[in-house]
Amino acid sequence: MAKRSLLETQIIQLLKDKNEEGMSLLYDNYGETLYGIALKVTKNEELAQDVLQESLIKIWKKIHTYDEDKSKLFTWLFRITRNTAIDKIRSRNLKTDQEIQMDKSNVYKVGIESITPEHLDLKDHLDSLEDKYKIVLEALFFEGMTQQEASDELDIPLGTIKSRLKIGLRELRKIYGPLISVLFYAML
Amino acid sequence: MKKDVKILLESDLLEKYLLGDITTLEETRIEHYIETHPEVAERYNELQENLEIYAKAHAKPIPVDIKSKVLEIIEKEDNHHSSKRGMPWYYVAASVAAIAFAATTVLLWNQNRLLSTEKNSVASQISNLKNEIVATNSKLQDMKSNYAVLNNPETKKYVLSGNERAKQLKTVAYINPEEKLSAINIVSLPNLSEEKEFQMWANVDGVLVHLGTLEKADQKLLSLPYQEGIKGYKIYMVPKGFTGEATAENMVASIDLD
Repeated sequence: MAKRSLLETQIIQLLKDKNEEGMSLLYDNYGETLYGIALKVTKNEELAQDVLQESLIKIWKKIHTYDEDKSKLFTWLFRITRNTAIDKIRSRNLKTDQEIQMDKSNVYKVGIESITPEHLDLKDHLDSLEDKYKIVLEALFFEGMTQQEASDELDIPLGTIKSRLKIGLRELRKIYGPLISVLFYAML
Repeated sequence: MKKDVKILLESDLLEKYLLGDITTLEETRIEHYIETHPEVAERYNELQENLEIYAKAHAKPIPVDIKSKVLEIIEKEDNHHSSKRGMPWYYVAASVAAIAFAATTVLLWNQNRLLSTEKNSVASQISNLKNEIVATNSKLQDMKSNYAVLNNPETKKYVLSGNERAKQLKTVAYINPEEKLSAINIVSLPNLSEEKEFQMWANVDGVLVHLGTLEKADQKLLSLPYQEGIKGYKIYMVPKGFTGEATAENMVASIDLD
C-alpha cells in the first residue's frame, strides 16, 4: 500500500463521514491540480471549470467506492477528473481533429504561478524531461487519448508510444525522486 | 524475479491501470499481482507518486470561486438525501406500526373513556332508580298503613278543632290501638307568621312526647307515630324550632282518647 500523508488520511475520513470540511480541504490542496488536469484535457477555461465542479461533486458522491488499499487518493481524484473532462469533450462534440491535435507549444507553457506547492519549482524539473516523453505523457494523461489514438495523432508507432510512456514515467521518477520525500513531508 | 512479473512490469498494463484505462479482467489480474508481488506494488506506488508530481506541475489557479458553489451543492444534496435517504424501509414500517398502535391506543382509550362515562351514568341512574323504588315502596307502605288504619273497623276517628287562637285549625286523627296504627289528616291550618309553627304532641302516660310539626299537606293522610299508653293528642302554637316544654297558653287543640 502506498505511503499516505496525514492530510490525505484526514481528507478521506472527513469525506467518508460526509463532512463538508473534507471537501474544503480537498479543494484547497488538490483543487488547482485537478483544474490544471481539466484545463489540459479540455483546453477551455469554461469547460475546465465545469469539469472541476462536476468532478468534485462526483468525488463527494462516490467517496464510499474509493478503496484506500487500491490507490492513493490523488490517483483516484485524477481518474475521476480526467474521465469527466474526456466525457465533457465528447458530449459537446469538441473532439475535432483540430482540438485533439497536439498543441506542442502548450507543453512549455506551464507558468511558475501555476505550480503547487509554491516552494517547489516543478516547472524546471518538468522542463528537464525530454520533449518526446512529455508529448506522449501529455497526450495520454491530459489529452484523453488512448495509446492507439496517440499513436495515430502523433504518427508514432504504438510500441514506441508504450515504451516512451514507460520511460517517461521512469524519467519522472529520476527527476522527482529526491522531491517526493520533500513533498510527502511537506504535506504532513 | 518471476518471468510473468517481469513481463507485466515491461508491459504498459500498470500504466493503463494507473489511469483507469483497463478492462475489468486486466484490472483483476493487476490487482492480484500488486497484492502478491511487492516489486509490482512498489512500481505501482512509484507510478502513483510520479503521476501526482507530474499533475501538480500543471496546476493552474482557478479563476472563479468553484469551492463555494460545490459546497453549496453538496450541502443541498446532503439535506435532500438525509430527508429522503436516511429512512430505511424498516424505519418506515416501524414508524407506521407505531403510529397505527398509537392511533389504536387513542381510539381504544377514547372508547374506554366513553364506556366508563356511560357505565357511571347508568350506575348513577340505577342508584337513583333504586332510591326512587325505596322511596316509592316507603310511600306505598305508608299508604297501605294509612288505608289499613282507615279500613280497619277497630279504628277510631278523632276530630281536633282549634280553639279561639286557631279557629281554622281542623285535623282528623285515626287511631287503631289493636293494630298499633295511627294517622292524621290535616284538613285545614290557619296561616301563621313566619316565626311560629304548629307542633303536635302526644300525652303518653302523662308525659308529653313531641310528634312533629304540622304543615299544610293538601288533606293528605299522614302516618303518625304510635306509642303504647297514648292518652291524648295536643297541638301547640309555638315559636319556630321550639324544643322546650309547651304550656297551656300555647295549646290550640286537644283531644283525649278513650
